[in-house]
Amino acid sequence: MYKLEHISKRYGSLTVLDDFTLSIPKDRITVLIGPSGCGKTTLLNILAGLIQPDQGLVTRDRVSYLFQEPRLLPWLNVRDNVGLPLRDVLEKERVEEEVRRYLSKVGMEDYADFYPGQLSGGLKQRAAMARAFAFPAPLLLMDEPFKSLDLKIRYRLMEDFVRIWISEPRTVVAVTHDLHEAVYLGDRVILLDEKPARIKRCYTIDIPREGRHGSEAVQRLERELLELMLI
Amino acid sequence: MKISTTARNLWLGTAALAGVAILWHIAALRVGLPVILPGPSAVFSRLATMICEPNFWCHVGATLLRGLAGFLLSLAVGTAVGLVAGIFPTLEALFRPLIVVLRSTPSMAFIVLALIWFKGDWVTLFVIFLVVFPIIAQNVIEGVRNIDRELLEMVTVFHVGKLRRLTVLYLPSVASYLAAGIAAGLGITWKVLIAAEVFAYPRTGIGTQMDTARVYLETDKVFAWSLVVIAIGLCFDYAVRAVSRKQEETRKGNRHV
Repeated sequence: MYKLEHISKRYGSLTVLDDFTLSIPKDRITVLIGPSGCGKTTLLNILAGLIQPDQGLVTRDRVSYLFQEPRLLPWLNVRDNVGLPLRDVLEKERVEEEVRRYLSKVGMEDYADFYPGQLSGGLKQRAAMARAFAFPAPLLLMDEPFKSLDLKIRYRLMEDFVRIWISEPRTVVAVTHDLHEAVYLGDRVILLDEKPARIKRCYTIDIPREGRHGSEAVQRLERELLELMLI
Repeated sequence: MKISTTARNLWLGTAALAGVAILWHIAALRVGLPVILPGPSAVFSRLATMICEPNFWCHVGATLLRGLAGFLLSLAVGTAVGLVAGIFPTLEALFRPLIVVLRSTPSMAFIVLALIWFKGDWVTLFVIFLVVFPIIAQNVIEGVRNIDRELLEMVTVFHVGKLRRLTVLYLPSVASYLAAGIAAGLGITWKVLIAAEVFAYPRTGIGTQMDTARVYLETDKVFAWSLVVIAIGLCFDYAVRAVSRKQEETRKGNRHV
């Protein structure tokens, strides 16, 4: 279990988080949803250790991160980009083995020698997904990772993400403001209120993952969330 | 027929040089005194005889060695200082005034001081270092400052080791700035080196030869040596451009696999 306890964070006179507490269940996907600028990314960056909170306690482990942008090094090929964070934690042979394994999981084994500049946006994000899964961290953070992709590619990438996650579950905290993405991915969806961020409602989703796209229960939940968000 | 931009630029460049040569020829005819202004034909024939002399390559070699030694020293120290100053803001605050002072000091001041303090090749080494080091360091600092914040965040999150960060993120990001620094630094190296050689008067060297020619009123020789220096500068400039173009292609990830 990962925990954020009584976290406060201010930027100048703006209070983004005030006495915020959240526990994150192990090996589940927790999705934080809320309006833009409600402090979702700040929460994620506190979990990642990129930002220090002004007050409060964070219980966390090594983290992996799937960013909104692929954030690949343009001068390294896909193989070296995926392997980059592994080189300091695994032995050389293991790195190559793991890179191959995860590239095949995301369906990019034929692109290992390509440079990011030669890939489409979807493929770049796929490579970033391989990197995020390959990095041996118990906690995976995601900041709207499918946002900048067009609908078809976005759905396919979400499906692949869930498929890989089912084969090797780990604790995931994802941030989004896309309702469908939240309900499709999450085991738990937490709706946040604006500055300072507060938990407005917490849903546990027990709809089977196989039929979530287009399911009536999912659509009902999306409508409910939408109404709550508009209040 | 369609002419490529490169070919067109080459033609324009050649035309401009030919224009200068024609004006030079006319001016030389008008002056009528080769001691004051020798014509292009006199200078080129002097250059041809000089190249055939056995000592010619000796002087060129000595100047090249001095220039490269000074430049490589400045490149190594400038890159190292630029990287640490770029990464640690406190060190930048420490180095920046020094760099500004060095860049604003006339190179003649360095030459005169070097003549007082040092002997032999140390004079040229010292002068080149003080002129080129700040150019390289400043470019590298600028490069570090412009490293993509998002990529920096990425390597931080994934706990990429310090040495690996240097080789996979810092150095490639800084490369284009460093290339600009190298081009500017090399260009100025030959200028200050010749000036330093004229004053330090080492046994061999283009600067020494130019000053000897001045003493014997061999103005055509002065011109011919100047052409040699220009040729050296152009060769290095071309090489640097070619390398940095290739490196830029790799950086942008457009290299073919």
